[in-house]
Amino acid sequence: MSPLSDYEDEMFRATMADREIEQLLSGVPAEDGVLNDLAPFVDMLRSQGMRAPSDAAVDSFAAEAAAIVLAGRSTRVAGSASRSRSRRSLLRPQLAAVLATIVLLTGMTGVAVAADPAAPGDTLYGLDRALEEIGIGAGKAGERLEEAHTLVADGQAQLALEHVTEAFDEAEKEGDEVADLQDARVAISDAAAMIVDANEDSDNAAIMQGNVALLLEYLSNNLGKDVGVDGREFGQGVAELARNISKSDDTDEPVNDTSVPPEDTESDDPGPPEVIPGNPGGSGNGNGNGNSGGNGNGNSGGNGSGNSGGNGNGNGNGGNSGGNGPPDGSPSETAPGRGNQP
Amino acid sequence: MPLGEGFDAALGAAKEGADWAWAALYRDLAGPVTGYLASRGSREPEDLAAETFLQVARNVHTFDGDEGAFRSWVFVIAHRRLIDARRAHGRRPDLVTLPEDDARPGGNVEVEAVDQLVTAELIDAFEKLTEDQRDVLALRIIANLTIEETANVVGKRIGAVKAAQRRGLIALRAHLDVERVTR
Repeated sequence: MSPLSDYEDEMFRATMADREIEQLLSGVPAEDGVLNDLAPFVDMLRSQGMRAPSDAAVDSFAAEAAAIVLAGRSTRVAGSASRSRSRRSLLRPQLAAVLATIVLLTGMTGVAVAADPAAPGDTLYGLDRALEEIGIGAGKAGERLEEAHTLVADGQAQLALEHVTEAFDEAEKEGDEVADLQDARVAISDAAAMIVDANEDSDNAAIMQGNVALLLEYLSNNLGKDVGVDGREFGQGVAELARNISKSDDTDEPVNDTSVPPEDTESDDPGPPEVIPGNPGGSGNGNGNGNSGGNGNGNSGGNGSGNSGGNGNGNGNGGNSGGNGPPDGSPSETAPGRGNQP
Repeated sequence: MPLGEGFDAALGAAKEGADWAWAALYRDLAGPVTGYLASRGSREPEDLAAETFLQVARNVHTFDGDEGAFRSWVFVIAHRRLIDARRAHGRRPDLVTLPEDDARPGGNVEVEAVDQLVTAELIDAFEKLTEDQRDVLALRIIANLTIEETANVVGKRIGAVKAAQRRGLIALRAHLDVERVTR
């Protein structure tokens, strides 16, 4: 690619210190910089962002943005006492609860699963940071996860899950230590299959989206990362979150976010990660059966959701959820076909 | 031009729904966001920028941070919009760079001499870089983000961002050398 000789190219690399690059990019090239002939390029590129918006455009946007904010505020204020609270804003306490629960259940250190609650922006901002930290952005698995979170941002939870399964495939191809993932894969496949029809209900879709985002966050924090999470625990954690996605299928009850403060997870009855509960309005799917044995606390009906009794997932407890047993890997026969193409 | 000390007040007012605050934030960022989207091959940079800012308005209540973090957050959203748009056009952002990209920075290019180089040459050279390299250089220069902020936006490690900008500049220099030699 380079017309420079190998020697010159190597010298160029060697002498091109990051500091000089910074000077060039900031528009103040070093006096004797070998990069100075690129200064016109930097100026040209910078000029692309210099076009000021018209006053009309500014006024128009400002009015629209202010209206959006005011509408959102009133909705959230009203919703704090009822069901109409923004789903997105639920994710913070939800996320904290999930992470706290995972720590309790698996004994993982907080560091291993700590999302960055102080990170600015939405929940997915934390995912971005996590992706950066684990450094899988360069591999194919990282690309799949990255695409998955873009899809979540777009509200396409099912496609996102399909990308997640592809991420598993790629991670294994790349030799990452992703052991004991069969249970997790099956649970994710189930979740993907179960939300196929949920998308026309915007409330459900929002909940799905939130739960998928949680799953992605967990994956990003742990996939390929050597932080003492053994493969089995990791698989269980993934399976747990994936099953909660399934559980949110057919939700039609109001979600009362005050019922799931993080403190709840410290009670003596550790439930599964507190994901937005689902009320299965007769979905009658059987996918949950046999899948809930990921770890003993499983998806028992008593996780406090108050409206999950009698759903397919609850039934699964009869199978293999006793104690803190390992996943038995049996549910594979219930796995629906895994969609692999977006 | 950043808002500086006025940023916190503007952000607080924006969260309260004040027109003037949104006008200030938009005035500061509309140019760089639109320029970034245009330079990265968006066919409708104005539309994508508008979508970006509306999403900012919808989600601003979830944001907490300083001006640098805000700027970075806005570009995270813009970058996602860009990727979505590429996907919609059947392009996968993780594939190798396309040889030709007819959406060029700025749209209408005036070819005029800038020292020995002309703008068209610079743009041609830029278009020959990989997607990653162009993402990083555009975010560093047009968006004026730090390395750390850029890493956040593209979802890569800091080291990967440094490598991308270094390789991009080396490749750029090589392309420009070729064009001068073969002229």
